[in-house]
Amino acid sequence: MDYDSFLADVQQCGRFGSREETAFVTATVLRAVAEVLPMAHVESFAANVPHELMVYLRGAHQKPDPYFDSNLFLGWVLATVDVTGGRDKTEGGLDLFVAYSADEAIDRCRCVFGVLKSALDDDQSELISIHLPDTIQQIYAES
Amino acid sequence: MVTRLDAKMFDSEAENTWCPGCGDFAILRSLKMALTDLDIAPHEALVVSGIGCGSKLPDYMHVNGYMTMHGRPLPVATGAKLANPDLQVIVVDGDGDAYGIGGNHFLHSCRRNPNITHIVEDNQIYGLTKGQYSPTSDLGFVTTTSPDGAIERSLLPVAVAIAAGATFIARTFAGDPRHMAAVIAEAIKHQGYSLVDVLQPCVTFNRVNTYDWYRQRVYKLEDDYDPTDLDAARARAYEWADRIPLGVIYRNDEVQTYEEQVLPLKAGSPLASTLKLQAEPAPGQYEPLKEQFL
Amino acid sequence: MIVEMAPQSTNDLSIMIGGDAGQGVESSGAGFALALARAGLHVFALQDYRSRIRGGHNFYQVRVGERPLYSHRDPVELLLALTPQSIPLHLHNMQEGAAVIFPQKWEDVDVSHLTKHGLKVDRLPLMEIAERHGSRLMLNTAVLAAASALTGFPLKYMEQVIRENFGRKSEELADTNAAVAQEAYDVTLDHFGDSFPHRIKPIEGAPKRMLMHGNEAIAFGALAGGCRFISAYPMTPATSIIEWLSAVPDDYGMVTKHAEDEIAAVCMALGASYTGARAMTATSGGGFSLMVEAMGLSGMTEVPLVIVEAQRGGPSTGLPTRTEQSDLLFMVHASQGEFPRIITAPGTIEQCFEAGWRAFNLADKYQCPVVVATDQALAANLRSLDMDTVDPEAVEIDRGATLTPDDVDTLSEEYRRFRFSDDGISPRAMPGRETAVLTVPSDEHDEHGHINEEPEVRIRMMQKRMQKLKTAEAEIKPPLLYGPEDADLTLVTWGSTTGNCLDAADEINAAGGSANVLQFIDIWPMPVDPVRHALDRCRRKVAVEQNYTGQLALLIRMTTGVAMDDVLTKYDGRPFSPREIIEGVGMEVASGNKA
Repeated sequence: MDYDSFLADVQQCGRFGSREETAFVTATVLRAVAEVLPMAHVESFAANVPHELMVYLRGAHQKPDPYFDSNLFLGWVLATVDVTGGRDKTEGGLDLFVAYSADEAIDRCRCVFGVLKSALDDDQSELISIHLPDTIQQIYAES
Repeated sequence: MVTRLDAKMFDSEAENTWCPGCGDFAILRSLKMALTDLDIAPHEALVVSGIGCGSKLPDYMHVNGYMTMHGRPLPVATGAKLANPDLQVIVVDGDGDAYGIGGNHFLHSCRRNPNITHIVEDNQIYGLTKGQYSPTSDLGFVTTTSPDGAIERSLLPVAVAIAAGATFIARTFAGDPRHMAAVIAEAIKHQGYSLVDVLQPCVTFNRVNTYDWYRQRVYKLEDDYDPTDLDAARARAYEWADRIPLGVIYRNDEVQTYEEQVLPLKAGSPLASTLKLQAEPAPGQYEPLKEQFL
Repeated sequence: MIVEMAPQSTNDLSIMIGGDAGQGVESSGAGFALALARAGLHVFALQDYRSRIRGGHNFYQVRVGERPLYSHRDPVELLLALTPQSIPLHLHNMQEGAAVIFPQKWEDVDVSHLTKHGLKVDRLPLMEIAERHGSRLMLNTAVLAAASALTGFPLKYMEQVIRENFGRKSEELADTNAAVAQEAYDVTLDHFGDSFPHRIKPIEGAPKRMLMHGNEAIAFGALAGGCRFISAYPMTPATSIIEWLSAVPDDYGMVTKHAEDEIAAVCMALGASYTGARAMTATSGGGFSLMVEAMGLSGMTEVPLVIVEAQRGGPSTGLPTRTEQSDLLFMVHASQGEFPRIITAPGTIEQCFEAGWRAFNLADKYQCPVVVATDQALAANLRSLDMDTVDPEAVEIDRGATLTPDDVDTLSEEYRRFRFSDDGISPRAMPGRETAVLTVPSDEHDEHGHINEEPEVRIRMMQKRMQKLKTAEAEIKPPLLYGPEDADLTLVTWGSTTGNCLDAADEINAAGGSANVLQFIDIWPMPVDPVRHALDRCRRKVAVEQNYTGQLALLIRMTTGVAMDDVLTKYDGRPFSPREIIEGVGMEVASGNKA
C-alpha cells in the first residue's frame, strides 16, 4: 500500500476535513506506537508500511518504557483532536470537549489501526498488538 | 527489589476526573511505584497538594493526604514535617501553584531545605480553569488570557531553584514513566528539599506542548554527567526550547536538613510533646519560666 | 522642676517618661515599672511609640497603686523628660502641681510657660552627672534616680534594676550607671528633701509579683496548654508572642518558625496541627487578612487552628503601633463560605493566659479555627500580677475526640475521618497508623474524605460542620458582670477596654454614682440567651469600644436584637483613660454613633 492510499483510507474512515489533518493524525498514532514498539522489530514492517510512515516508527526506543500505559498512548493521540481556545462558558463544570475527546481519540486510533492492519500480514499485526498497552490492544483488535 | 509492599496498596476507590490521556495518570502511577520500591507504606507517607487538576492526586491514592489551597502545599507540608518528622512528606502541585501563586514558598523552601519531596506537574498551562497561560508558558503562547501570545518570558524553574539554594533538582517527563519513577524515588531518598519538575502535557488545553513536542526536545543527561558540579548544573538549567535535559540536574548532599538544625526538636517532635502532655500534664515544668517576670 | 503644695498622696500616682525613640524610653519605663512591682506595689504601664526604630517621640506611662490596676490614668503627677520637646508635648496632661524632671542644661525650656501651668520649675545638673561619668546616654539612669529621690522611693530598687539591665552588657557599665544613679539621687534629695507631695512607699512583706503583658500571657498559656509549634511572621503588635516562645529553653521542645509570610505562617500551623500537634500562629489585622483563606481551609478540613489576632489601628498600615478594636466583624465573617469558628477576646492579662491554653481545647474539641482577639493595648501594656494568677496547675488539656495513635490501633470499624454524628464532631485521627490513613480535602467531601459534590452529601456535610457550633455553645462563656448588679449605668465592652471601663466604673461608684461593667469574652458564637438575659437587667447600656462603628454593639444587635442606648467610641489609636469614659458617658456621649 502506498502513502496516498493509506492516507485516503484513514481520511475516509475518520471523515477528516483535509489531507494535512489526516497526515497529522496518522503520524501521531504511529509515533505513539513507536513509544511501545522495541526498536529491534521496527524494520520488519518496512516491506508493508509506506516509507513516509516508517519515519515515525523508526522513532522507537531500544527498550520501550514498560510503564507506558493506555492513558499515555491516548494522550499522544488527543493532541490531534483540534480545539480552538475559547472562553470558559461552562463555569468550570463539565466540559464537553473533555467528555468526548477520549472517544474521538479512540476513533482516530481505530481508523489508523484499521488501515495499518490491512497493510500488514497476520504475524506483523500480532507483533504490533502484543506491544500495545491493554486498552489500546483491545481497540486494535476491534479495528 | 523485594519489599513488603505492593503498589496496589495505594489504590483508592475515588472516582477519577482527570481527562483521558492526561499525564497526571503517569505521575500518580510513578509515585505509587516509587513509594513501593522504597518500602514506604501508605500510612507512613503524607502527600500534600495544592489546587489544580494534578492536585487531586491525593484523592486518587490511598495515602495520608492534605489537599490544600492554591499555591500553599509547601508551607502546610513544612509544618507537618516539623511537627512529625517521621512522616515521609511529599508535595504534589502544578506550575501555577509552585511557580506562580506559591512562588514565595518555592523560593524559601529551596533555601530552607526541609526533607520534603516536591513534585511539580509542569504542563505550562492552567488546565483546571481551561487554558490560561502559566509562569512556564513560552513566550508567544496563545491562550484565553494571552490572545495575542504571552508577552512575559517563561520562568526557568531549575535555574531559579539553583539560585535559591535547592539541594536536589531533577526534571523528568510524564511520557517516560519509568524514568519518572526512578527520579521520584531518588528525590524521596534525598535528605533535604528535592524538586522534581515533571514535563507533563495537558492533552486537553495545551495544543503546543504535546507528548510529541516534548519527545522531540527532551534528552537524558549523559552517564558521565556530574550533578554535584554546580557550574555544569547552571549550564543545563538554562537549556530549554530546543534541547531539554532530563534527570538529576543538581544535587548537594552536604547540606543539613532544616529539621536536623532545629534545636528544640532534639527534645522530641511537637507531636510527641503534645501526646506526652495529653497523657500526663506536667505543670511543674513551667514554674521556672515565671522567674523572668519578677 | 517644681513643687506645688497640691493634694498629698502615697502610692497613687502616674509617671510619664518622654523622649526620642532609641533613647531608652521603653527600657527606662519598663525598668521603673519592675522596680515598683518589686517594692510590692501594683503597676500598670503603657507604652506609646511610633513605628520607627529611631527618631520620633515616644513615651511610657507608669501608674502606681496599692490595688490591682487595669488602666493608665491621666493626667500625670510626674514627667521625666529625656528631650526638651517632650515637655510641651505633655503639658496638657499634667496634673496641677505636677513635677517635671529635666536637666538644667536645656537653656531653651520656657520656664515661665511651665510656671503658668501651675508647675514650679527648678533645674537639676542631671546631664552634667551623666557626662561626667562618660556619656550623655546615661541621662535616663540619672532621671530615674532623680524620680526615686523626689518621690521618696528608696534607690535600692531602682539600682537593682539598673544593674540587671546593664550587667548583661558589662559589669563596668553597670557600676558606672549605678554611680550615676547614686549621684543624681543625692543631688535631688539635697535639693528637695521630701517636699514633693506624691510619695512612693514600698510595701514591706508584699507578695512577689510578676510584670507581664498580654502577649506574654497568651504565649505562656499556649505553652502550658501543650502548644509546641508556632509559625508566625513579625507584625506589630503580635511579634512578641513568637519572640517569647522562641526564647523558651530548647528542652521544652517548643518549635518556632519565622515563616516567609503570613500565608506560610498559618499554613505551617495547619500542617503541624494536621499531624496531631498543638500548633498556632499570631499576627495583627494585616497579617490576618492574608490568613483568611487558610482559616476557611481549617474550617473545611476540620483541622484545629489557633490564631491570635492582636488588633491595631487600620485600615491598611493604619496606626501600626497603636490600639484599636476594629477587626471584630471582620473576624466574625472572614473567609468565603460558612463554617464554624470560635472567637474569644480576653480583656485582662489573667484572661490572656487562660485564652492561651483554652483556645487549644476549643480548637481540638470543635475541630475548627479559634481566634484569640486582642488589641495593641492588651498585647503590649504591662501589669503587675500575683504569682498565682498565672497558674499552670490550673491548665487543663482537653483534646475532645482526638484519637491518638494508640486509640487508632484499637478501632473496631473502618475509620472515616468525616463520619456523620449527632454533635457534628467526627473523631480525628493522627496520621501514621495503618488503621487510619486519612485524606482531608479543601473540596467538599464525603465521610471518607473523598471529593464529592452530590447535593445530599453536601447538605449533610454542611449540617455536620455547622452543628459543631451549636454543640460548642454549651461551653461558651457568657458576658461577665463586674460591680453592682442594679447599677444605673452599664458599660458594655470587650478586650483591653474592659480594664479602662473597670477603673472608670470604680471612680464613678467612688464618687457616689452607680455603674457596672459587662465584659464580652467569648464573642462568637454569640451566647444569645445569656446575653439577652444580662442586657435585660441593665438600665442604661453604653457600649465602649475602640473603633468607629461600634462593632460589638452592632454584633449584639445582629445576633440578639438588643440595641445599646449609646455607643462611646474612640479611634485615635490611644486607649481610653477612665476620665475619658466618665466624661464620654456623662455628657450625652459626645462622639456616639448609634448602633
